[in-house]
Amino acid sequence: MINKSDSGKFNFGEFYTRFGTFLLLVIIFLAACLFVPGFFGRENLTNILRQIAVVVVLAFGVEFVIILGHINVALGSEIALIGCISCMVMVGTQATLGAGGALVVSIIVSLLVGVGIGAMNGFVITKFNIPAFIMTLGVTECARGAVLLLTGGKPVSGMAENFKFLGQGYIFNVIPVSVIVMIIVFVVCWFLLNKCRFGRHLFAVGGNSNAAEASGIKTKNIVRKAFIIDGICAAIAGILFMSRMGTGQPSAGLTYEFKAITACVVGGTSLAGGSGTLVGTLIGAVIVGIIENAQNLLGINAYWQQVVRGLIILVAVIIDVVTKRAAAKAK
Amino acid sequence: MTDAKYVLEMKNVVKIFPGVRALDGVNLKVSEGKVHIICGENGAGKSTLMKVINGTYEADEGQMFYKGKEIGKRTVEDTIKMGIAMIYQELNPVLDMTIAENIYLGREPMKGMLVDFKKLYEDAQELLDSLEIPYKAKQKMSELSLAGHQLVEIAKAISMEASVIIMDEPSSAIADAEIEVLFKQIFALKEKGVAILYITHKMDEIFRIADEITIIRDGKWIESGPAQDYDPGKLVAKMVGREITNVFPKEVDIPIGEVVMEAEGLTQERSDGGRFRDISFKLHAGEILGFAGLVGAGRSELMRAIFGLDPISSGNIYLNGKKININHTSDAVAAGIAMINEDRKGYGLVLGRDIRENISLAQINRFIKNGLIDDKSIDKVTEEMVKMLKIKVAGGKVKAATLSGGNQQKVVLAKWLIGKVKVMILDEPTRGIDVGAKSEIHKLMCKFARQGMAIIMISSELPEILGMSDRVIVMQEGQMKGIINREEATQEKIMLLATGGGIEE
Repeated sequence: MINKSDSGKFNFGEFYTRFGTFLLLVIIFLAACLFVPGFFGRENLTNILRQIAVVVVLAFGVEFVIILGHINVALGSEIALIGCISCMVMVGTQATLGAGGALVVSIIVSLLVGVGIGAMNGFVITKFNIPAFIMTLGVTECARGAVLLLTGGKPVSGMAENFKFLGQGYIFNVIPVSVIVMIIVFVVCWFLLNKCRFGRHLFAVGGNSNAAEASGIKTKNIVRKAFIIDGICAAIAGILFMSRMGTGQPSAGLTYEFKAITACVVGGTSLAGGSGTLVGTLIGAVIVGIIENAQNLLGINAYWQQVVRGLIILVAVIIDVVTKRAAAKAK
Repeated sequence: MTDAKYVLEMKNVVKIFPGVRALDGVNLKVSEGKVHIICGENGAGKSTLMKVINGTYEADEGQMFYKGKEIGKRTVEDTIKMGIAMIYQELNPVLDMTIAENIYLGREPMKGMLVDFKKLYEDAQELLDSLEIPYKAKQKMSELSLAGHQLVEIAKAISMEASVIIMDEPSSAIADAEIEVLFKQIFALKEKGVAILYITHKMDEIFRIADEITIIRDGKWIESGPAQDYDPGKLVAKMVGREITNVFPKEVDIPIGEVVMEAEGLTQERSDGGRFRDISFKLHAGEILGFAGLVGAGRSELMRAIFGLDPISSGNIYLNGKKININHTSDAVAAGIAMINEDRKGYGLVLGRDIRENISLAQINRFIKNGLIDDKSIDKVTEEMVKMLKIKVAGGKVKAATLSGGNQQKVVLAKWLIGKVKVMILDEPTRGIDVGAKSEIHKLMCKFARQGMAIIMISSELPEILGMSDRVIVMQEGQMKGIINREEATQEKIMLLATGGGIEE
């Protein structure tokens, strides 16, 4: 049997899986330009990019995990923990190392903590064969408890001014540094996913773990590596987040795991694993960002915004399931 | 009209599945109080026949009579109510419930709106006692062994006043000692006038309990008769007695070279009992070594273990005279061993990904340049493979899921062929593949052998084994029963070994 998608017959399911997210972005963008006063303009658009940077970096990380058919629901607590650690390291070392040295050290320590959390997630999940959902649900509480213990529940402040550079700074007074960070993470992740052996193995394990194992792939190692990447991204997101806030907030990051997962799903990544693209996830995050920004500009009640956020992920998952069924039917 | 002395009778029953006559004119006459054994090879149609009897399938042609009355279309529930019960190979008891609750599941005695537990346990205990089954009705199912579950299942059938009980390879899941318990129960049921329809391949069982035997082959009824008219040799001859035409010819002029792989005393021990014991063999370059045996003989498990998918407890594997340790499939792949699994979709392909990703999956290191994947060379190799194996596909970017079975199998072959394979293990390489693609795959196997590859082929189709193998290893219940050379191999010899009959010299 020859693939029927080449036969020229139009199939909505397949069309949607390929171009749906992009089309959705265009529609939402145009609608916002037309109906939301103050939406279209350099300042507001840059603002949206800055706002979504943290979510995008988180989403890129969790994308690896979701492609495997796993999940991480602890991202919100992870960024609070790692972000606050970065602040505390900064405060603790800037006197001796100077502001520049302290920033470097704090970034390095945060990344190491991210690697550690990711490695632990991956290890426990593969070693004891427990669902990632349960593992990371546990980590959600542990990480939140840990950050409250470390900070005594109080915001961490007193960092040198350069700490704000990553989250609030601009290059040439135009391009936000956080957007640059986002682009760098995108490029690195894109190469990992599409150009490296690891990426091929990742999709294979997510698509059919048994077949991957029977092709000589160490599937558990792939899972562990994916969670480490997820942890590194959480660390970067954590620093960006606190840097943007200017203080270390132990209670910050609530619902960020939700936003990141929504970005992946809206971007066409299947929660069943085996498929997903970084570009899709980026578009998904932008869509969610625009919707949130538009609601703010329109002055919509924050509680309503929360309801909308919940509906978006539900609709996205339903679309994913329905289009897949339609695409399967066409074959 | 029919003869009322048979409790169950079938005349000329035909069951057609798309493209195959699974049952093609089967006759069956089952008498009260007799054990009637259905014999046949793998895939002869035994299970289909049982499912037609118990109402899972509807026969396309033919008649069926129960106690002299013709019965037609009905559901499984109708059939049970009529008095025909089936005990499946794999039982599904509710482990957390008691024996009594399992026996009366769905038909508990009621007192108004509530279950009458007193009556439930009294009835169940009475039943167990009458059958001399040594359990208490209040025992949990989980405390019982598999044989225990079967006994409870038998009690359940009796409680439904079954006059025919179908048992589908009941001994395959239980240990030798427990089989005695089962047999004792079968003899007791005969005394009560219950007819037993029993499916098995095992010669020793057949001749211990059979009163009557019916043989089917390739869906066709061959003959029926009293058990004393048969001996293992005759039975096997009837089971396999088809004409061998050389449908699967191995090109015999292929030179057989040095020993490539040697297995020495391979044994698997597990908490649930290992699946193979003390397996030793030598495999030569250019050779196709067939592994024959009944389904469940441990052939696939052995190969999975050699390939690193399952653990080996003891024994050694040598490749080109050097001992190798295989702890993971990656070790096997690195050593040059490839395996085409019987479960093509489960273990062969990532269905949601495209052909080129599937083909390059196991040998991805070949396509890495400066740390990055070189997609162009993957495309090139994919194109070569599509041409060489004649894979019918529009292009490398087509998802594996959209291909037909034969073409999927070729993609799996391609996955290994792009690397350096010394030993190729093929587990049921042509199962579920149409005739044309089948013969193409056989030709490819010859081609690989000619290139010096050593090939192991598991097949449950005797003609394929006889046609393709240079030597045949026969396994039964995890053990090697013999090695037969191509010239001496016959269907009868292989079946006798596979069923535990032994070769008479």
